[in-house]
Amino acid sequence: MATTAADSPLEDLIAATAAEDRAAFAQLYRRTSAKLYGILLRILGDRAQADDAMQDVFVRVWRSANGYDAGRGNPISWLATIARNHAIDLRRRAGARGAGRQADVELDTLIDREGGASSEQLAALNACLSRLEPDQRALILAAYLNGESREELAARLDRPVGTIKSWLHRGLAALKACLDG
Amino acid sequence: MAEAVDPDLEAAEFVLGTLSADERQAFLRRLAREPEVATLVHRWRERLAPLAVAAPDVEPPAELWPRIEQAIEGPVAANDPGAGRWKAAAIAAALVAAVTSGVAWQSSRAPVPTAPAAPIKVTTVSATDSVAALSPDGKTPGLFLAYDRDTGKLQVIPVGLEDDPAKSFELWLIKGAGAPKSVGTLATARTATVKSVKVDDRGDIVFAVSVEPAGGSKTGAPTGPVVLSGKLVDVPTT
Repeated sequence: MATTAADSPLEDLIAATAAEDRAAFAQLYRRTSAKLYGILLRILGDRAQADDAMQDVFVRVWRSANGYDAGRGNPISWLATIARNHAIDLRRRAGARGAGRQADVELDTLIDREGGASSEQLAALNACLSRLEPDQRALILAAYLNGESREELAARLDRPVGTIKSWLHRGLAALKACLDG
Repeated sequence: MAEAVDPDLEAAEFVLGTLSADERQAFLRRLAREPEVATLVHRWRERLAPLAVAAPDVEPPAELWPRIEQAIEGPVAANDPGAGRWKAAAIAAALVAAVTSGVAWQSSRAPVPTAPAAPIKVTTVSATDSVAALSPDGKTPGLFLAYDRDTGKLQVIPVGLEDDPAKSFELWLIKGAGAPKSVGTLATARTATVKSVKVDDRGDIVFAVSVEPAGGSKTGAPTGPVVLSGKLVDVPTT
């Protein structure tokens, strides 16, 4: 039954999961659950909610594994997207009541943590983020990592929502120019 | 508001999660119409993904994996698998009988739309807490439901509905005197499906099927005629 070894690439585990290979799915869980749980917990800020969300996310992965297209991005970002989207959706629905403000992320602490394939991309992203205005950078990180809404970002910086929107746009445009350039 | 919003910045905010609910809806509609916008979304996901991957890992509690395994299997009750299997088998048998009679009823009518429907598989009916037979005014059933409280899975087995490509059948859950809540559209009028739904107490639950524009009601409430309805009843456990 188990045709996928413990060190199989995640792409292969997802492909086998799409074929309803439970052993591969278990392997996929073992390899990615700490990453996805970290994402969920950070955005939801509550373990019970993160537990439920984790179940939803992996049930979704089980059902939609055949929708993963290896040609369009790496498997961990596909999984992370599913987790982030679900967590943000729950957080918005709860009106962010349950989600406490998270400590700001120190970018430097993110670098060097991973020795994986993404560390190079992360270094590039970090270099571009560090060139942004500090407020713009803080907004992008708080939105992405903590799932904060525009209103929460406005409260964070004590600025009107409209200002936040234009800062986000400026920050994102600059980030793109830096990354793609 | 303005159509002039740069789609690339909208895509970025969509990925970031900072669009308002309205803007998000509008963006999703745009995404459905303009395939090139999907490419913008994809690029932003890839640009920002290293951040998600770099966020600190947290080990999930050990009891989560068994829960997930259960959720994907439609399991029997963990503490009494024997009783669960027996119950599942009994429900499956009851549904096969009902489905068969439903098909017989349908094929006895003229004109027959599509010759006796392909046998509807009910072998996946698992542990079930509650069932409902939905019919027009208490007559011959057109749809069967079997609900498993543990997994929140609702088996939907149509037996007497006609496909119409211009319309969708939408299933609604009505709790007591509350407003109907959509459980989703039936992909086709002939295919058994499984929906995830939370029926959170044992109060009076009625399911109903309405005829909606293709894709389902746009308003979040039934807009077309209700063609089937039925009460959810608990299955005795002994």
